[in-house]
Amino acid sequence: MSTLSSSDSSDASAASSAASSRSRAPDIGRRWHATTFRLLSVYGLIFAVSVMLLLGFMSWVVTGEMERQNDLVMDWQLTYFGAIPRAELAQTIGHRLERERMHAAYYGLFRADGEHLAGDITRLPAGIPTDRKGVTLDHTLPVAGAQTAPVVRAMAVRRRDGDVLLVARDLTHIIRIRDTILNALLLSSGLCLAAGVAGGLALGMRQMRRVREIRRVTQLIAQGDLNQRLPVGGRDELDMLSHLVNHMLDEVERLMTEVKGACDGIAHDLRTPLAHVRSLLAHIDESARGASGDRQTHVWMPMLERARQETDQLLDRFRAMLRISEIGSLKRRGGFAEIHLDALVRDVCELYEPLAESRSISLGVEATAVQVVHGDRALLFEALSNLLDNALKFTPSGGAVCVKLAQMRDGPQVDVIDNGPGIPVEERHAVMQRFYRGEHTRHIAGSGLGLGIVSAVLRVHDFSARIGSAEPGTRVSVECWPHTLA
Amino acid sequence: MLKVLTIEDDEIAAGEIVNELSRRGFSVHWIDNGKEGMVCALSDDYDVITLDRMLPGMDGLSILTTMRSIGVTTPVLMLSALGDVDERVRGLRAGGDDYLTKPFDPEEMVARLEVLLRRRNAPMPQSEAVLNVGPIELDLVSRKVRRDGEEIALLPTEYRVLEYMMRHAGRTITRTMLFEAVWGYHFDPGTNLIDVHMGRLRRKLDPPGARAMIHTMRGSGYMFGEEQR
Repeated sequence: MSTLSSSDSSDASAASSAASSRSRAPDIGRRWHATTFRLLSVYGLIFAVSVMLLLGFMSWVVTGEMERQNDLVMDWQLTYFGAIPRAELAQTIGHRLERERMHAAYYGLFRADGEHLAGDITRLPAGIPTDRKGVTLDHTLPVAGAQTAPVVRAMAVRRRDGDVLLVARDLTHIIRIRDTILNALLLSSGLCLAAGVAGGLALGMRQMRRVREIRRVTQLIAQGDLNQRLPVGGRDELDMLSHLVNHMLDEVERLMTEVKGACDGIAHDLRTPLAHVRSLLAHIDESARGASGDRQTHVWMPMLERARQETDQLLDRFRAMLRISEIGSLKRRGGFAEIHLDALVRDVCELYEPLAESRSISLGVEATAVQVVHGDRALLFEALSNLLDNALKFTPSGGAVCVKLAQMRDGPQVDVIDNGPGIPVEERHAVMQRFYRGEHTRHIAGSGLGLGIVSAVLRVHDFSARIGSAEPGTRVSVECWPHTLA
Repeated sequence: MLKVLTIEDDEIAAGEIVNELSRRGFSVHWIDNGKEGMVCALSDDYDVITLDRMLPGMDGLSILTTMRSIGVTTPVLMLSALGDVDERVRGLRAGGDDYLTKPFDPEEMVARLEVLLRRRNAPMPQSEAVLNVGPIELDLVSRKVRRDGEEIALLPTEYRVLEYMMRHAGRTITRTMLFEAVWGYHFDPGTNLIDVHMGRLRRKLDPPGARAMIHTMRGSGYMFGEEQR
């Protein structure tokens, strides 16, 4: 009985698995969204980090190569200058500077104490190694005739006579080219990332739509519409799964139909001969009554009476079973209309008031006006009368039964409260199942199917019932609002 | 002798209907297929018809619809294994006068047939303002009930029960019929429930020592009247 679950403030274990699965249902969508977005952002992050690493590596390689090339050239230059005697060196540097007016290279000759001898480098930068090791000087090399100090690759050597010869090559242009290339790469990577995320999002949306559709269909199936099948449109993993589930549903439907057919058939076939037995008994009873009142009649009459009662009870059970199956197969929402529950509750109570009185049970009604619900009046009447019938049945003489109708946050709620023996916590879930009778109530007549009918009716309406404790006694709460998210 | 036409393809069910009705003095004509059944039903030769909903090669509903469309007003009791509310509504909309789900208690069927027959043979005048059965008088306008001229105060439900019983005085009324007619629902409310309602009405209507007007028919229902049949 999936629409029914037992719960109590003091008891969580009796809550049915159906109820807990239902409470999980609403956030599936949200979680799915979260999953998709988390995936996308992780994917984006990895992409961005990879691009950064790639660019860094490229920059490192390019810079290294650039420096190596310059160092090679400068090494040659130093070797060339090294071969020139000191007296001619200043002049040679002057010549070179004359020839190279494009400022691709700078030269400087200093005495051992740092005094400027020749060249356009006006001062020897501090800490520069003098053993032909290339260093990059970032805007720190003072150059004559330049507005700002350029970025250069420099190399110095201490000559045998103690002078320091410094050679530097301008890196400004080559750095600009490198940076332009790196920027272009960075920009295109950004575009790639954006395109990737957008594509992923679009694909994810499509999957989400499909999952949403699958969720909708699954809920319909869970509500008993076994004709529904999951949509299948292609050949991907979802479709494969859908195929499998659909196949499974075919089987389930076939088996359900077989079982239901067999059950209905049995109930139906047994009912007919039982009805015959019953009318036979009635005839025997009638003819026996007509006979003279000898001793035999006195012995038979009570037995006949018993036999009739038993067959009546059996017939009642079959009727209830078929009724449950009938309600279950009702086309959903066929006879639905707007219902005023307060009038309905009063009608049910009016119907049962004489029965309560005959058992010396006080029957109270508290029906406030509540919001109109959408439902089948006849079925709800039947369900409520079964609940009330049960309450009256299990309340001892002199007890009290109360029916309360109140507006809750989600919708109207009908409580049927008695002060009978109550239902033990561990039995609360089981009582909603067909034929279940509590340990202590086996002596009370009934089909054991009353609550089964209640469940069937509530399932058609998507309402729910909870069994709780009324300290002492039982409180059955019927929550008249939808319990699954369609 | 009242003539009943039974259109029913199930031999066992038909045998049961024929037996029960013959035992009670009806003359029963049994037809086991839809075509012949249609011909007989259209002849307007019978007082009442029991019609199975599912016949080989023909839906019982189409016989009913045809009958009503050419103006045959013979009362029809639909018998069907299809018990759900939708089917009942469809049967009654098509022109059926009552609907009984198989398998049924033969006494229930007879009780319902008798009500249909009475409705046909002695139609209740709409203008009737007072119902009189023995010492009981029920005023339909002022909704007052008197026994031997003495007013009896009844609750609305009790009044409706009494009205229904007085309209069908002398006939067996089953609990199901009463529940359907007075409360308008089609499920089984349990024997006890109707009995306590009847008990209340009886206490008010039949004071101790006076002649009982409400009789319990063992195993089937109640009867209203001065004499038990």
